[in-house]
Amino acid sequence: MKLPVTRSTFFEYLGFNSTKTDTFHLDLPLQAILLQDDGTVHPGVFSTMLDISMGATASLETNSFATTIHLNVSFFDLSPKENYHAKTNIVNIEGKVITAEGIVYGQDGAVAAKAIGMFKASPIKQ
Amino acid sequence: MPRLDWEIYEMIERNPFFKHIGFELVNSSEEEILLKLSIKTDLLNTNKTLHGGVHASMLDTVQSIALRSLYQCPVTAMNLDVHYFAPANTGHLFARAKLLQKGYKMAVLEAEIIDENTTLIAKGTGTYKIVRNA
Repeated sequence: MKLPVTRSTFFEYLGFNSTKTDTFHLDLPLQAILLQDDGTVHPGVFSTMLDISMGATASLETNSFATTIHLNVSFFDLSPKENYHAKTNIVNIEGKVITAEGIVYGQDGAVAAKAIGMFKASPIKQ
Repeated sequence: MPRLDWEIYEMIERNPFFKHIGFELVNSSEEEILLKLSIKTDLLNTNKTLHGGVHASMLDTVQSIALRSLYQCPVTAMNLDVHYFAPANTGHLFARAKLLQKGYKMAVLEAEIIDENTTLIAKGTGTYKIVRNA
């Protein structure tokens, strides 16, 4: 069974969908509001998607709120696809610092963007 | 940097993501391009602070505008690197970019985001491909 996880207002604002089974799944149906004037996807959309995917995975892994402290994203294909999916792998956890890597795939399975991020674990606000 | 011409303003007008986030171009002089963002609830994360994706979007946007103004042709992001220094949840943020390397096919910039009290919120660098003859 897939369970919904906590969503931020920005998450909703860009139209992401997420579910959690054994891992965090993040999907994005592309909308016109996410495009630039030349019809390509704004790099900020993939940056956001990777930040959400890696941050949520880090958060679930450590049962904490994961604050982004560093994000590096490489963009490979900004041409629009109908749907995108993001996957994250936790690379390292040392004290309160979590390092993760994430990839955004288009519906054709091609890699659209890849990132590495560092997150600081802090208590979740009630 | 050359003065922003009407093509840049038209590009901004036709950029749905720029409008959706709420960016404003408040200065477009030859010396500086200054981007403003008024923080709204839609842009916050579950911790009620500005979502990290917004910082990244703002840095990329100001860098892209600066390059399009300079090269007078489309550019596309290849890499974006962001360091997050301080949270923000209200008020206005400002971003400006500085050219580090001007190549024929690629360019590198750095950009920073500050708040109304000039506190450094985030800083980043970007590598862009110059799309000539597009």
